This record gives sequence, C-alpha cells and structure tokens, in this order.
Amino acid sequence: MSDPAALITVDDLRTIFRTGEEVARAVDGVSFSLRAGETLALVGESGSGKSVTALSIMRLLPMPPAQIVGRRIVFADRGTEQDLLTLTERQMRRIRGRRIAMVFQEPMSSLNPLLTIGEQIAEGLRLHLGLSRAAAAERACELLARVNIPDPVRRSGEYPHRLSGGMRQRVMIAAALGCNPALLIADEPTTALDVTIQGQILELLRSLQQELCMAMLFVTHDLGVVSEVADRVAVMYAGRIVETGSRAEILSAPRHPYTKALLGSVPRRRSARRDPAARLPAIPGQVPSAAQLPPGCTFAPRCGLAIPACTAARPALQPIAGAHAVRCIRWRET
Amino acid sequence: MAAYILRRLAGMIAVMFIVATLVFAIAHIIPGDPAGVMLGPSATAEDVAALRTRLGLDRPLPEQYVRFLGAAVSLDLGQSIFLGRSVLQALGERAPLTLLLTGMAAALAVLIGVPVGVLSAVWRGGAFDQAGTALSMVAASLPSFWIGLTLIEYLAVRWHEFPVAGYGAPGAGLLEHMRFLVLPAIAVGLPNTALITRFTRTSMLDVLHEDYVRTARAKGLHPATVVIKHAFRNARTAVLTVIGLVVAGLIGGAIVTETVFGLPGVGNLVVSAVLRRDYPVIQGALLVISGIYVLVNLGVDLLYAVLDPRVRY
Amino acid sequence: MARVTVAVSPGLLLLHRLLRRRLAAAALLVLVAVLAGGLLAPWIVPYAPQRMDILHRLAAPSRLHWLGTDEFGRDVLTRIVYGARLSLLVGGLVMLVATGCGLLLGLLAGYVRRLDGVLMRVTDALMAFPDILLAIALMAALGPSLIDVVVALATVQTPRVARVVRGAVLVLRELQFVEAAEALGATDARVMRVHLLPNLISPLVVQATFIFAAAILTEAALSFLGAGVPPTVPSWGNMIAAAQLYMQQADWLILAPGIAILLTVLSLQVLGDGLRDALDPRLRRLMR
Repeated sequence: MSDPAALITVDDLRTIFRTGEEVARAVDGVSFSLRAGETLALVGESGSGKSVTALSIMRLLPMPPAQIVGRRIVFADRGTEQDLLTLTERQMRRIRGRRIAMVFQEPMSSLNPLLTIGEQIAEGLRLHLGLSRAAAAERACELLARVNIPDPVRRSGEYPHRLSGGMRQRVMIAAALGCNPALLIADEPTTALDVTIQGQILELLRSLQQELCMAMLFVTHDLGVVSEVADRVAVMYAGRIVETGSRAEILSAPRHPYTKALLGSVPRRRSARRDPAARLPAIPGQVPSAAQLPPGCTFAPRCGLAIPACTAARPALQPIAGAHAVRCIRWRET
Repeated sequence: MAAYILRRLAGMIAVMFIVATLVFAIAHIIPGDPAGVMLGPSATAEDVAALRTRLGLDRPLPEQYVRFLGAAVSLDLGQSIFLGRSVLQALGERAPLTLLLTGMAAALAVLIGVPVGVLSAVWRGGAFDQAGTALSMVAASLPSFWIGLTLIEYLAVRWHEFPVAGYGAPGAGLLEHMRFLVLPAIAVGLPNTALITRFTRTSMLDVLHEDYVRTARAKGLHPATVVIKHAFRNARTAVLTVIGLVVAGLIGGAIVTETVFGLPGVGNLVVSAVLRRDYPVIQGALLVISGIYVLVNLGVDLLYAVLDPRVRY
Repeated sequence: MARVTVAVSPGLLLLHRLLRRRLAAAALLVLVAVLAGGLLAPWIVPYAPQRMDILHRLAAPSRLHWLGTDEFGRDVLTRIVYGARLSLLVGGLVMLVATGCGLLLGLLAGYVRRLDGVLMRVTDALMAFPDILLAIALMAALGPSLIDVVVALATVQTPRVARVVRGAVLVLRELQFVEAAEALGATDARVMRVHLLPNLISPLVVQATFIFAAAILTEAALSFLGAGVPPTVPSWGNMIAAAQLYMQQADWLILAPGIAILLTVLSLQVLGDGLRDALDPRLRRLMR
C-alpha cells in the first residue's frame, strides 16, 4: 500500500507496553499513509490505540514501559526519506515541533502554568528557526493574531490560567504551527471544549491547514467531528485498523460491524456530545484488554455476526473498492 | 499583593501569640516552685523568695501571663539567672555563629539535595536513583551528633584536614570562621539533605507526568530544557515548602551539633541553660528560634506569590 | 480473566504484600531481631549491664566481648541490647501516645469546623519549635525519668499526627458515603467511628512507623545532651555521650551504638515506605 506521493507512511506499527510479566499490545500492526494537505481521521473508542499511534509517530511515549517493536514510519519531507523509528533522539528532536507538530486533548493542562503564553510559543521559534528573542516574541504575537486571539500583544505576556479552554487551545495551535510543520497531529483537540468552541477550533484548523498545505492526522472518538474535517478515515479497534476509506465511504457505506455499531450510536443532537453517557457506543460487551487480546478478529466476542472462522485466524484488511478496505471476513454479508 | 502580605502577617502574629503562650505554659508546668528548682536544694529560703520576687513568681498567674506577653512584645526577654546579663544580650552574642552554621548547613542541603532529587526523578529506577535513594535513607536515619563525632574522629583527628573543635579566634574573618564550621555544617546538613532529596524527587515525579511536560517534549526541546525550564519550575514551589519546614530541623541539628564541636552558639547556651534550669534563657531561646522559623516561612509564602502567578493575592 | 478470589484477612494480605518487597521484608526482619533482643535482654546477654571489669576497660572487640568494653570495662554488646530495650520502649510508647492524641485532635479539627482554626494554629506553633529544642525545654520543666521523656517526645510528635489525620478527614468528608451518612442524620460521633476511623487506619499506621523512628532519634539526642534518662541507664545516646572522651582509643564505643541507631531507624523508615506502598493506593492521596 506504499504511496509514492505520501508525506508519511506508517508501516505495520506495533507498540507494546511491558508491565512486569504482562505485555499489552496497544498498537498491533497499524499501517496508513498521508499526503501533504490531506486529513486522515483516526477514529476509535478510548483504549483503541489511536492516541498511542499518534504518540508513537512523535516518539513521545515513556520508554519503558512502552516499546515500539515494528516496523517503519517513513517520513518523506523536503526530498529526503527518513525512518522515524531509526533516528537518534537528537535527530528526532529536530523533527519534533519543526516538521511534525502536535496539539493535545487537554488545553487546561497542556500549557505550562508558570510560563507566559508568548514564551511558550516563542521558545520553539528560537530553537528551530534560530530567531532572536525579540523576533520570536514578535512572531509569537503574529501567530496569536492568526489564531484569532484578540489583543495579542497583551495576551502574550499573560499566564495560561487567565485564559479560557478555547483560548488555550488556540495558543496550543499557534505554538504548534509556528515553524510551518509539514504534519500536524491533533489528538482529540476539541474533546475538552464546549460545542460552540469546538466548531470554531475545527474551522481554524481547517483554514490553517489549507493556508500551510499541511497534512493532518486527526485523532478523535467523535464521528460528528470526523464528518467536518476528514478527507479519509481509519477506524481503530483494539490496536488495529478495522476499516479505512474516504469520509463518504466510511460514514455512508460502512462495512465493518464495529463501524456500523459506532455510527448507529452517534447521538442525534450534537449538543448531546458533551454528555459522557451519550458518547459511549451502545455495543454489548467491552473493548478487550490490550494484554489479553482474543485470537483472530478482536471484535468477534462482541460481534453479532461472529462465526467460528472469525476467531480462527487474524483477518486481513481486504480491499472493497478503491481505498476502501475492511478487516472482516464477512464484510459481504454485513 | 499588600492584602496578601497583611493576611500572612496576621497569621504569623496569631501563631507567635500561641507560641508565647506555650512558652509561658512550659515554664509553669514544673511541679513545685520553679525558683526552688532553679537554685537547687542548697539555697536558703531568702534566696528563693528573692528570686521569686525578681521573676514575678509571687504574683497571680494571669498577671504573670500578661506581663510575660507584654515583655515578649517589646523583646524584653528578662535576665539570665546564671550569666549575669539579659537574655537578649546572651542570645545576641551567640546568634551569629548559629545563624552562620544553619545557613551553611542549609546551603549544603539545598545545593546537594535539590539536584540529586531532580536527577533521581529524571532517571527514575536507574542506578543513580537507587544509589541516591539508598544514601538519603541512610542519611535520614543518622543522628547529626553521631555524624559530627565520626567526622571529628576520621576527618579531623586522623587526617588533620579540618579543625577538631572551636570557632577560631574572636577577631577572625568570616572565611576563617567558616572553615571551622565545615564539619559541623556537614553533620547538620546531611540528614536534612536527605529530606530535601526525597521531597524534590517526589515533587519532580509528579510534575514530570504533567501534560505540559509532554507538550514541551513535543516541541523538540532539549531534555535539559524540558527538565529545568518546564518541569523544575513547577516543582520549585513544593521544594520551597520543604526548605521552609526543614529550617526547624536545621536549627535543631545546630543546637545538638554545637555541643559536639564545642561551638559557643545558641545551642550551647540553651543546653547549658537546660542543665542549670535557667528558665528565662530557655524561654527566650524558644521564642527567638520559633520566631525565626515563622519568619522564614513567611518569606517562603511571599516567595510563592512571586514564583507562581496563580497564587491569589 | 479467571482470577480466583480468596477471602484473606486484611492483615495477612498486607503482610504478604510487604514480604514480596525484599527490602521491606529485610527491614521487618531487623526490627523483629531488635525487638526480640530488647524483650529477652536479661536472658540472652552474656553479662550484666552494670557489671564493671576495671582490668579489661576499653578492650577491643574479641571473642569474650564481641563489641569490646567501655571505660568501666562494661560489655558493650550487653549495653547495646539493653539500649535497644530502652529505645523500643520509648519509641513504642511515644508512638502510641502521639498517635492516640493526634488522632483525637485531628478528628476534632477535621470534623468540628469551629475547632479547626484554633487547633491548627496550635499545631503550627508547636511545629515552629525544632523537635529537639521543644523536647529539651520540656525535659527541663518535667524531670529525667523515662515517663518524662515519653511525655516530652509525644508532645513533639502529636501535632504531626493531628495534621495528617485532619488532612485525611477533610478528603474523606467529601466522599459520597460520608455525605450520605450525614444526610441520613447520623450523629457526628457515629460518622467518625463507623465511616472515618476505618479509613484513617492506613495513613495512621504509616505515620506511626515514622514517629517511632523520629522518637528513637530524638531520644538519642536527648540522652546525648544529658537531658534524657539518667546517664547511668544504658541508652544509645548515653553510650555515645560517654564515649566522646575515649573515641580516639576505642572507636567501637561510638560506632556500635551509632550503627544500632542507624539499623533500627533505617528499618523503620524502610518499613514505613513499604507499608505506604503496600497499603491501599488511595493512601497516596490521603497522605498529601
């Protein structure tokens, strides 16, 4: 599935966590690729491995207990190809924040409470772009203005606790985009925010993405958000991609029983999304523990269509049409 | 800010009022007549009566209490029974040595304890962390006076690296005085270094798990920048708290260690006052030392407000 | 997912979890040995603690005197074992008294809002004195007996327990089951006894271990300064104080009691840490 035009190609990514004797396979053979300017939404419940996938690309997981055992993450940036998994820590630091940037879920806790907002944006600019203190401060104010923060000069001297959650997420975005990265990884960037603010942040991300011609890996559990930002979608379950395709294919013609169940459980009214109970898919059973994955199809224990063959062997990702592929042996019958 | 300082000052005055009450109470829980106890069994009845009058012990208890508080406010700590001078004067003569010793021990404890604690947290579970944790457990289990004695035995007597005892000639310079205080400062500082190390390590471990530390790493910052600029900045208020609390332990260690090294400081004064039951000196020392502790912690509280923009004034 | 759940008493479970940690198990072993030595002192030591032997004064460690003899020719090992007895007695009593009083004051402060301010200011004031200074000042006012030492040291440690208990109570009070009990009209005394006390045991046990250790250290300092038990009583602090004059000829006189203190206190601290880790994980929150 290697795409010659891809900016980043994740090839059979496997991330495990060792705790004592237990080995939890949090990401169990994930592959996808992403082109410049394109948005891929990585969708799944909590514990599906989507955030671990994102952090594996950045190599930000605590090691130990985490360990990336497979296989390659090829980053083809500015004419050179590099396998992120074989880079030294020093080489990786030149990519983090400069070529691949990340925005996190919790704007309330992701900003350092004891540093001014301006400083938190400027430090990356000084490091990666070699800007002087004054130039970096000036550029930080421009970035704050670009993410629609009013009165940026005054705000840049303030501390995060004076800002609302939505404003803080704008600051995070400004800090992430300061060096014009080729890839932005957004890990549930809107989950912690009010619904009205969510829309604004999504709109901001989308316009900035177009402006900078940046690829975006958008990690979310929220199919409503997916429909607003994604070009393509990959649905994750228990550490594996179970279905992938264009936004339209996944949202209107899902083939995997899990994707169908997930779509069936999307609350009708968007305002209900803030209610944690409404977020949970009404699928019987639980996501299996990454330390004790069932044999064969990991969704089989919860699947209404499961037959003995489902648990016999691990199903492969089977192409349906074009880029649409599904990891289910009974997809024709769904 | 002014309101914040005022509130802290008011709290400090409340605590000092209770401190003074406790100090007064301690001297009055003695079974029998304090004057008789002080002068010993060989004293005549006239001497005892005279001392009672001099100390105001012949007056009713509430009146004694009010007089004591009034005197304490005006820093009149009374007369020593054995030294032939005022308690304040005696304390004033001895204070510089004890303050210098406490300061040196504090510097040692902070300069070793904080970096070791930070590095232990960063390299959690590694060889450095395990060695540091083991050593600080041992250091926290040793009495400072015993450390002092072994230092004298093995560093001063056998190797002649440091003076065995004393404080240098009265007119000696600060550096010369400090040379005499190196071993005592190690003895006082070591157990407190251990406390600061362990506490710094715990606070750093908490902070290193915070989301903003991950954000800093995601920016591609150097690990040293992440640890010092982003993590330690957030741990230092907690570290400051424990430094404030350790001041009591440092002064306590100084009091005991002065005896070991024959240093003419407040500790020596207090210990001999206790052995001779010179109550005015004991009371005065209790008031002054707890006052210093409360002042240091007031300073810590004010530093908080400077270091952390979130502190509400 | 088949995991067999067997009903075990919480004490046994704790012991099991503690013994799984090698360090805590070793500490427990040392403490049991020190305790056994202290309890059985008269039957196991080779000599009487006050027996002098002027011909063999300041004798180096040998087969006859494993840890040598002191300036009066008394057997050091014998006196160390008797010193263990005293240290454990003082430490144990201080632990009991301070935990008991601290628990009571902490419950009152945490539960009766009107008393909270006053009680906490008093503990603030008591904690403004360095431990050893408050202890010697109290000793000057009390007397040189063992009971006086216990009273002085318990006074020093009680505020610490009270603070921990109060902090834990404030956390627990916010928990739903306590709120529910209050809403159902349970009396304060009942809420404390039935709902708070059982949850306070874990932090108290850990705190008690550390107080035991602190009391042994402060007792040694009191004896060393001559403000503790009378100098003739074999206590570790007294032994070190007496040995000061002879340490150049006989450094075992300093080393033996020092190492005895180190081993005992270190074991208590390791045990306290082990207990904190082995007990309920919620404890971490309550100990803050």
